Amino acid sequence: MTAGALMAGVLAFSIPQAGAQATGPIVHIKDFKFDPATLTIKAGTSVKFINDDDDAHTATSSTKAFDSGGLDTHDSWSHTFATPGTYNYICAVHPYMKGVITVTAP
Amino acid sequence: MKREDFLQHVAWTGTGLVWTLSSAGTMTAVASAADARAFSFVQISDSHIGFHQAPNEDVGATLQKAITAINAMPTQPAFVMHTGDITHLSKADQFDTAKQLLSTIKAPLITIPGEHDMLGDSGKGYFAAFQRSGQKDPWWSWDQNGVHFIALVNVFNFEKNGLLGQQQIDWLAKDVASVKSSTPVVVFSHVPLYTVSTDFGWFTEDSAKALAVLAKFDSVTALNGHIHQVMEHVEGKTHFYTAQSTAYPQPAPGTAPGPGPLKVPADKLLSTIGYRNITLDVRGRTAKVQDQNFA
Repeated sequence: MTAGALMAGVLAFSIPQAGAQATGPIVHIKDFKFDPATLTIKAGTSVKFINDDDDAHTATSSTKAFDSGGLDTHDSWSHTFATPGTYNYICAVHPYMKGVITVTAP
Repeated sequence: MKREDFLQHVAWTGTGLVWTLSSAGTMTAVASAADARAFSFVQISDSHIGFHQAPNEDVGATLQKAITAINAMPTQPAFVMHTGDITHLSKADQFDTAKQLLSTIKAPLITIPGEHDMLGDSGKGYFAAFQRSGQKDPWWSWDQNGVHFIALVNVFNFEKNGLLGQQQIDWLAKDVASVKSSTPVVVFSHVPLYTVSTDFGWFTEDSAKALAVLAKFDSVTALNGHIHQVMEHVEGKTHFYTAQSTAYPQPAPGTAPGPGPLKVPADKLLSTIGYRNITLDVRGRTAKVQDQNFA
């Protein structure tokens, strides 16, 4: 183990938020809603989308900056947001389902 | 061409006349009442190949039930139209399975996509599997037995489902400009062309523009899928019939928080899914729509 990795491990242990960031934020898709519907992250963060519903869903950016494709029940899909900006997204099966991810400078 | 085939081809003139070929080989126009032959076609919809949970863990088997029943019809339908959501998730193996099953239908198969067929790749997988040869636009029309058939696609805009778009509406206006108003029209779409439910998103945002274009016709029959249940609706001279699924039912609007699968008990499933037979009467001005269940 390198000193850097050891240091990161110590930080994660002492600051709970850093530990949460290590696994990355999760957006659950449940009851035809994105939860949370709004999320703010730092550039370089990976967000995991998990479909908890019985129906198929997607997480599809309005500009097609990202697109999960069809997610079956219990499927998950992750995307790393490299560039700061505001990302509006919808479910392409149910476009009235809307979410926003705001990516700030790292 | 066999005489029988020829008769079937020309029987529907839309004028109430039927051409018969006498034993002497001369063509004669006679009153349509002489023709007992019905012109019929079949609609199937929402097969969701790839769906694998309650209330239907084997959607391939229930699609097969529809195919078996259609192939056993004593008078074969002129064609079978699948009005979309052939697959559940637009996956390549789902298109493959669906294509294998649907290719066993004896009658000519016609398809339009649903939004479940357009996921992730803007329809590349769908069109690779089901595009008609020589097709220029994804929407098209054809004349058959005196009826003007129109196949519309209202699942292209992933942010607005359904939406026809101005390009398609302009095409439609041009398409019907030279069609006589007395010609019976049958129009297919995946998402309904009338508002079934705004909460569930069961409407086509710009359908009013398309219906305005079709308003000149004496008779319009609009057939759609998407909502996995039978409904009938009339606006002016347009009769709307939404079809059941071959896979699973969905809740009636207002009875559930979302339009997901309706988890009916196993012994009720086959009575909530099925296919549809449409018979046009001799003058082609009205359609008799018969929804058939698997139980």
